Amino acid sequence: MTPGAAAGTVAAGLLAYGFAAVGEALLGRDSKTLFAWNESFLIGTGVCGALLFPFSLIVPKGALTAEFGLMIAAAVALAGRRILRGSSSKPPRPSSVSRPLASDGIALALLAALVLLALGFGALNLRYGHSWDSVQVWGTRAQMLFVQGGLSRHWFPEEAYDTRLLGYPPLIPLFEALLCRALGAFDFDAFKPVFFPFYVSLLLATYAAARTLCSRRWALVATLLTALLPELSSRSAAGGYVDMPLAAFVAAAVGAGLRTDRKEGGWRSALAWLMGAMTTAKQEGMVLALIAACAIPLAWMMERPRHIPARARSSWPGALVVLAFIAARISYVRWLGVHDATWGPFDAAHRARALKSIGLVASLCLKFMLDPATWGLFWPAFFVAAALIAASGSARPMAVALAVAATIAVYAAMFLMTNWVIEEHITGAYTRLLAQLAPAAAVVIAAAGQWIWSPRRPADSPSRAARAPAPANMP
Amino acid sequence: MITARNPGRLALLLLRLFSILVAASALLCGMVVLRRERTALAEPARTAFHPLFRAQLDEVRGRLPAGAELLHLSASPEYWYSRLWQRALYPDNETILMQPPLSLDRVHALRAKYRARFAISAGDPPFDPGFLWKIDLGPLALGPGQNWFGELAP
Repeated sequence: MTPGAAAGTVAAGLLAYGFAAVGEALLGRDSKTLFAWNESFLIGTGVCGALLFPFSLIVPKGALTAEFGLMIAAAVALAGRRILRGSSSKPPRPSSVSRPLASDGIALALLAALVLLALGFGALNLRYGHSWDSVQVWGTRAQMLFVQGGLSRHWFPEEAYDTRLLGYPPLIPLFEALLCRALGAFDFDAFKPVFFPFYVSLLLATYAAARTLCSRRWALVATLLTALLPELSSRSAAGGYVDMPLAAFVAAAVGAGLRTDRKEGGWRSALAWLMGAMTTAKQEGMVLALIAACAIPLAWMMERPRHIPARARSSWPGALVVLAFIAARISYVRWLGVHDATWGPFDAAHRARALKSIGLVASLCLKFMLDPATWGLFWPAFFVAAALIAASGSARPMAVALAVAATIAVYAAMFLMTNWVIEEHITGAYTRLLAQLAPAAAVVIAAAGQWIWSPRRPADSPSRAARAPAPANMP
Repeated sequence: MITARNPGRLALLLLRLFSILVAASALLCGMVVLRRERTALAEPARTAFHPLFRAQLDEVRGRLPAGAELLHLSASPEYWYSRLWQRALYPDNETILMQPPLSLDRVHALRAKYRARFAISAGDPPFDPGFLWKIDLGPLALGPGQNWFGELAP
């Protein structure tokens, strides 16, 4: 590793800590586990991403500095709180009665493979170079943020079509610009280290989500299935696309949604903040947040319909959190006043073209979903697993499986309204879109896998060891 | 019918076989890609700016006054290096991209609008927008063709 890459990696780690401190402060947490810290990191990045727009309105040239200030204040507050509490706050004793990790050879082997894959991604990420989007979209937004100090309506002259890039969510450009600010200069080759924290976050969040349903070994299998996917561990992920970071948010939201911890309602609901945070990472985050918002009442309905009114009453502050993120995003796009000519409009001509293209879109999407070199048998396994989960009647895993299936369909249907050549658009994008959903699908696959190999155990019930609410007492 | 609580033995056997195939395909998929990526791990880190592009960029920066607007003309549609010039020169020099069809009328219109005194023209051969003087920056970093840079006639 070159000194520059080492400095970037350390700076990215410190910034990730700053984001996590914001998340901790917001949720009023004092996290003791890596998994809880990971949730705080994702929530903190989402909140900072959402705040960038109001900061840019208040201090147009000082929004980046304000973000730094927020992170430092949160980190200081967190340290102060810990000092004041002193040694009185000890980590909770694990309630798990499972075998210690050190004596579980299979789990150790799976963990070792994951550590190797994570290190491999870290190295590959620094050497892989950039995809088109990494430089021309996200990196350019970061460059403008770095130069201008905040979000603005400025784009390069005579580029009517590409002004749409201004409307892309700012989370990754923010992280990249903050990193370059910390390093003292903007350099397209300097900001790749921001992707490593997201990769680690993806693995941690997938494990935490799977652990709510599965034994330790099966949760590790779910994580390994995710980590072995080329689209999340090399290719577009190492090339600086934002689908891998969005997949980390998906994994964390699935974990938060599957937890049975009743204390997590109200406005400090991690699930609500994670759903909102998705809207700050990539445009599809809005679709994901809306589908999650449908999946939650669906899960309630399948679990205990009588409790729906009470649950709705306790969840409205969380719903307001999600709505606030959505409102911030819509306000930003309206403030920009740019139109993305990639899609629609939903007029008669486009509707007619869409109707004619259904067969083409479906066949192309299916082709990319079943591509063995990219996915192996991942998606067929997901659909088989989803059917098994549905047969088991397990409400929350079923809601996750339905949400994944619905998103797959929505992502395919979006291409019916593209103004690009359909084949080219699907070829360039659909595999990456599916990668965003992969951790959620891996959790469903692992839950079904555990049931297949231990059929007497209900599919949504892990071993006795895993019944404790995650992520506090993991692994 | 397979149910979660009471699967048939044959169904369970088939499911287990399928799950083994899924695991094997996942391992194979991951291993094939890792093997392919070994070259990227063995090579020096790739950079957003190709070394040839960086040399041409230094040449242009050395001759371009601070704040001067610049036209970039592509003789054939090009969406990577033209934009890279724009990003690389930002914010010191605003770069206005021109994709085909190129014409002197369009050049004059953009010059009038942005007071651009300089231009980079890329292509095989590059389009001449009316250079007062020009230098050959050398070949395009990818694909056939040349890059010219120069000052436009008043």
